[in-house]
Amino acid sequence: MDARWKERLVGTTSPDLETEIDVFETQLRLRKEGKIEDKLFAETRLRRGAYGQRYDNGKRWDGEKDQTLAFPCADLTKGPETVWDAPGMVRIKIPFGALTATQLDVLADLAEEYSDEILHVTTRQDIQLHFIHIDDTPDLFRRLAAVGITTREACGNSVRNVTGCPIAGVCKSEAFDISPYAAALTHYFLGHPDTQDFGRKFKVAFSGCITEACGLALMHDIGLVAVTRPGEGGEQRGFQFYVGGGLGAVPHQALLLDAFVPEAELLPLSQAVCRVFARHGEKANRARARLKFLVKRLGFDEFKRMVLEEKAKIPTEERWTSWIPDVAAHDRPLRPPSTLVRKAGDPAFDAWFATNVHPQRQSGYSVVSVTMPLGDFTPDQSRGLADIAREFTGDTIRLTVEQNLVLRWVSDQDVPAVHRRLVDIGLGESGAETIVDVTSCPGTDTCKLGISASRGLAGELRGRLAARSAGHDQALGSLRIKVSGCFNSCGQHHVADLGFLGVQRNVEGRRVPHFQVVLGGQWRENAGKFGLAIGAVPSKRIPEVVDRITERYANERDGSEDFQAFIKRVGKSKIREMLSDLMEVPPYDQARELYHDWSDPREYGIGDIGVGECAGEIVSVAKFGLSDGERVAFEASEKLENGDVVGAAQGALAAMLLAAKGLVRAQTFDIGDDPAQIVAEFRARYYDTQLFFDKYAGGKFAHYFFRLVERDLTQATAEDAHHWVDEAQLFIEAAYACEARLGQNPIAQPA
Amino acid sequence: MSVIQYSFKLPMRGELLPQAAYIPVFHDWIRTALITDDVTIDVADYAHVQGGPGVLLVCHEGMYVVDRSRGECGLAYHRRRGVAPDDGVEGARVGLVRLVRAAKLLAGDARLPGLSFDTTRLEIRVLDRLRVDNDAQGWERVEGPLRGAIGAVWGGEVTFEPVATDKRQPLTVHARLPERTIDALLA
Repeated sequence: MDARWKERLVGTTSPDLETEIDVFETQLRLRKEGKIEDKLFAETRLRRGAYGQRYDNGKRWDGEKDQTLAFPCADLTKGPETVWDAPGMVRIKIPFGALTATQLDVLADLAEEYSDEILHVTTRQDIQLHFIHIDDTPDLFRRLAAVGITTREACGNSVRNVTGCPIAGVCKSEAFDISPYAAALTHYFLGHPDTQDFGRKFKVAFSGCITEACGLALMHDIGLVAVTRPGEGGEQRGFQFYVGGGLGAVPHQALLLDAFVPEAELLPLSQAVCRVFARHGEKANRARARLKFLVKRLGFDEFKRMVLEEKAKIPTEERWTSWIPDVAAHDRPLRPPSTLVRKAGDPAFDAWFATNVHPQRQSGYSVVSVTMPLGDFTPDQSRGLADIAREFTGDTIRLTVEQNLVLRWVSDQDVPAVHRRLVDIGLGESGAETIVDVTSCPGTDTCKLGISASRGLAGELRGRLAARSAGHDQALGSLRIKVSGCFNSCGQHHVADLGFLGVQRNVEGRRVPHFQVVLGGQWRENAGKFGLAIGAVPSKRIPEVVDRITERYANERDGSEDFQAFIKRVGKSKIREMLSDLMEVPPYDQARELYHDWSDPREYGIGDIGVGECAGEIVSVAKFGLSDGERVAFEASEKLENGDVVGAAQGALAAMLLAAKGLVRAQTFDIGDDPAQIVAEFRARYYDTQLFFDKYAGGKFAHYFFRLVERDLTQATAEDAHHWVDEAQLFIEAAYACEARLGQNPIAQPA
Repeated sequence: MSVIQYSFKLPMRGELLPQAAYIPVFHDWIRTALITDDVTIDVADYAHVQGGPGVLLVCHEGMYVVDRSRGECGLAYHRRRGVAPDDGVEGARVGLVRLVRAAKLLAGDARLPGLSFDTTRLEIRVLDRLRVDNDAQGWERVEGPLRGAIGAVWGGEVTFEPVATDKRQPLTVHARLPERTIDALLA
């Protein structure tokens, strides 16, 4: 029999990650056996980064009718209305976008073997792979873990990928390199108990300065901008600490919680925000469950008071500051600094150099932006990039929120060679971070929530604008176009110069794909201003919208007037007037092309829109604990069957402890893994209060638990172990019943 | 269990059609349920990526790809999943049959004028690094099954030319095949 990846990768993965993936694999098996309910399994897989994808409800609009996709798994699901066999997306967290060459090699392998041979860079510095079967995910996760990547909490109601300025450490305008801080926050919150009971996702971003766009700090739940001030013994590092920002259907600008949070206070203050969010954030109505709504509901001053009060209560942890002595150890150049000698007569290089190469703060080095059309690249390109990094820069690769990749520390004289190598692998396009470099979410291509074909539109605009990019002057060329396929705003259209938001309109009984035209957003200053919609135009006419607006800007701008100032001066009503003819939709017989979306010959319909998983499933912390207990009890029974009596006995106790801890955590966050503490808390909160008592059996099942804790499990006989495994299962059932009695929101008395 | 995760690519001949031409064709394959031995799911368009998969028909067990990777455009079929038979030849044959059948459908589609395939060559990749490393041992494992599967579909002798790829890439070989018209295959 062939070996499995689990055996092949022994010794390459951290034990914690290995255990996590083993647990997930068991959960997969239990779900197939019907031993985990689909809602719980959905949130479990989401927290592992395994997301849904369009058509995973087993239905597809074919342009004439809804078709059923008859997958072989029949009724088996991996979440509510989510068919097991339907392909899904795996989101791979890349904290602050930092990648190594070895990781690029492995990502290439995974794209080749499990997905559609495309790696996609997201607007939050993740990599996404599409069309993945859920059965392949444990091996995929193992292969990632072997090179230090976890997908844990890439989706679901958790702290998502921590983003950061991609030129941190080499930027001319930064206060200091935010990379080690972003890494510390990532590691601290990964799987942290205080972040497991959110009602919604939670996003954190770091920026090295307030003036540039790179970090987009002001549109995040926590936005952190590096600042310094004079202190005892020299310059003191800290952060402007913003809270409550976010895009989505209702964008909110983040508010300044503290103008200077010293580096040692970064984690405790963030933790306090997380605890307040977990405890007081909305849980039932996911549309109002982001932090921004909590800040609004409580009022900023009250929110701040609660955060500071919470911070004062949290016991000091060594992990809050233990990493600070190492913050200076960031990436270093592979090659010495040098001077670039430009050769004349290479227009392709010159065009690329003008848009894709930027001098670093460190003399003799440049940052090279690699243009990834729509954020996509192939496995061969991934390996090619790894080779370039190994030869020229070392592991200094970063993904960007504009869906590109940057190579840092390119010695200046190597820039032409790097360009040649990029051309060789099909990644030598110019135009990075210009009007040509249109950003887009996946939209109707793969997203369950997509309304319009954002990628189709982005591709069309990209092609048209690239064809005439030589005619763009600096002001026009530097504009940003961003496209979102729906109101969830993953394409970040609110902060673009020209933003487009996918919507649909009903015209005489037929659906027509449209985009709202959003103007006035500001990309700079960390997403300093959100734009507003001026009207909806059919998708197929959006290129004409871009032409009219950009031509008017090119012809009528006042000297060095920037785009925001131009829009403000001209006025949105005038712009709307200029586009009004495009907003009129002729009947179907006169303009059939408008009734189709980009890159899709099907007549447009909205039947494919499914239930989104952005919000995750609202699953209580108690339920997670109970599910873990159930899994461990199942594993204990397997151990018993395999003759591991002591292992089975210990598993029975571990299962009860997990279930008891789950119930305790529903009432207090401050519960660790110490068995004595769990027993004491469970006894005080559930046994003494009789909350755990069964209507007929009273406290009987709790007695099983209390008795087993007292036993010497190493002396267990097979009969004992069998008995205890049975008792563990009964205890867990009683715990489920207790959780159900306590209702939808078991946090009745937060400590 | 046999290896089934093969990718077979049949090169296209002559002037290439725009990638966009294949999109409505693949959509129609879904709409009319033309592929009967798999679940057809969606069409993906990556025409904007240089040297990559251009347009794909994604199915449950595999993908049909108008592929431009490695410097040559062709129709590829990547098999991802399915029942792995004990017989290695059968494990390879299923993917090959699907490729040829799809090539015949495309070649006969009036919306793709002039499309033809070079049936004397085949690119083969083995997308299963767990079982088949890119080395002599890996080739030893799949050579027999591939020879058998190609023989079953093409008839006659096949010769293999190893492709000098680096070890990170999947095991890749080029097959030289007897001259056949596309219509004659699987006839």
